[in-house]
Amino acid sequence: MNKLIAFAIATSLVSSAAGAGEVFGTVKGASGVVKGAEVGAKCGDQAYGPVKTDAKGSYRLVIAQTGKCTLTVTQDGKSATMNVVSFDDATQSDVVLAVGADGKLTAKRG
Amino acid sequence: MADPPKHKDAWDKFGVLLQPVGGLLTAMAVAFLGVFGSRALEERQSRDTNARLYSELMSQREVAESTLRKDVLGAILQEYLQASPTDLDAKVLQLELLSNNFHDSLDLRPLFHDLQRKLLKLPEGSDQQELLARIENLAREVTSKQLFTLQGRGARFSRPVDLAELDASGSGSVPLTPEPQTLTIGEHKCDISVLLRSADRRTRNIRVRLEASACNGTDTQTLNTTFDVGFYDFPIIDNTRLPNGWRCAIALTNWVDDFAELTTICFPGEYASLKDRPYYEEVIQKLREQSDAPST
Repeated sequence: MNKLIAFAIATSLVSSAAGAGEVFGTVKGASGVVKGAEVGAKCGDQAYGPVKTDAKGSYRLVIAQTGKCTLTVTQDGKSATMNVVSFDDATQSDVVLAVGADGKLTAKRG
Repeated sequence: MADPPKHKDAWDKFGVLLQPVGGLLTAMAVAFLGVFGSRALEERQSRDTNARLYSELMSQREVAESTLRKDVLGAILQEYLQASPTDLDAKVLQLELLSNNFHDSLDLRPLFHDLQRKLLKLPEGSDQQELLARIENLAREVTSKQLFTLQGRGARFSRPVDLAELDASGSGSVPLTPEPQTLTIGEHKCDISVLLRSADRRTRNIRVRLEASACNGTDTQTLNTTFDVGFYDFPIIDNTRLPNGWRCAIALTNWVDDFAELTTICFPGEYASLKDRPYYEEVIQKLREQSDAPST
């Protein structure tokens, strides 16, 4: 019986994630697309990812809730944050990374 | 005194032999030329016939398709307008048929708005929410298809809108992006700004002002226009002409609780709706540009 309940809970979690929103995009830096950067999101108390950008600098995060989230991009040990919104449907959020005069990494929308 | 008989050398003998062979070779060359010439002519004729046949078939197909589309459009529109005002389910189905078949050539916004108005009047607890969701999803699908088609030829940017922040701003304008976005299509550039004025959460519409400046690198006057953007405004159909021949459209691509998402897309005028014919001046300017361009 316990196994059946656990299966039902797991199935419901999978289906809610499948119907959830998705934030995707490309991470670019001064010299073009950024490969291997880590991208994660925090929406309220819930954290999603991180995932690594592929050879084309693309990332894709499935976020199981809607609303305002903070996207964190980490490259070479430095992190930068940017606000995004997760919707029921997929939404594109391209990120442009830049290093400021103080050496800090900043992220803005591409 | 008679000359002694001239001794014939090998060349003379060869010449005697070659005389009839030469005639034969000439005849063969003429025959070959005739055969190959007629074959080449036949091939050319066959190619011309095939091209003519293909063009006739395509033309017939085009005519047949246009007739079919005209009949289908007439039938669906008639059904839609004659359907009982209470049979909203049938109206939604007819709108689905119209949208799926004619979304790039017909402005369906009035029908969407009409249906939305009727559905909003329905009592709570009826099929209202289900039918409203159906037409909204339909419109979002159409917008998504059109944006996908246009983005390959144009340039776009999407930004979320914080509706609570917009409400708090009162009657002021909130810029969608901190700075104007420079969009580039081919060798042409334009600075585009979108200013948010207000939002209607009931009908899910946002009042925006679109500003275009520095198109083609000139300091031309900033052009601006104010309009409402909702899920039923489709970019191929509902767009703003810019003086450089571009079209710019703003589409509502997402809406959830306190947030919406607007996508601004600019594209060459050739990709606007079939109903949207270019101005003669634009056509002449384009022809001039083509004739002035150095030939490669």
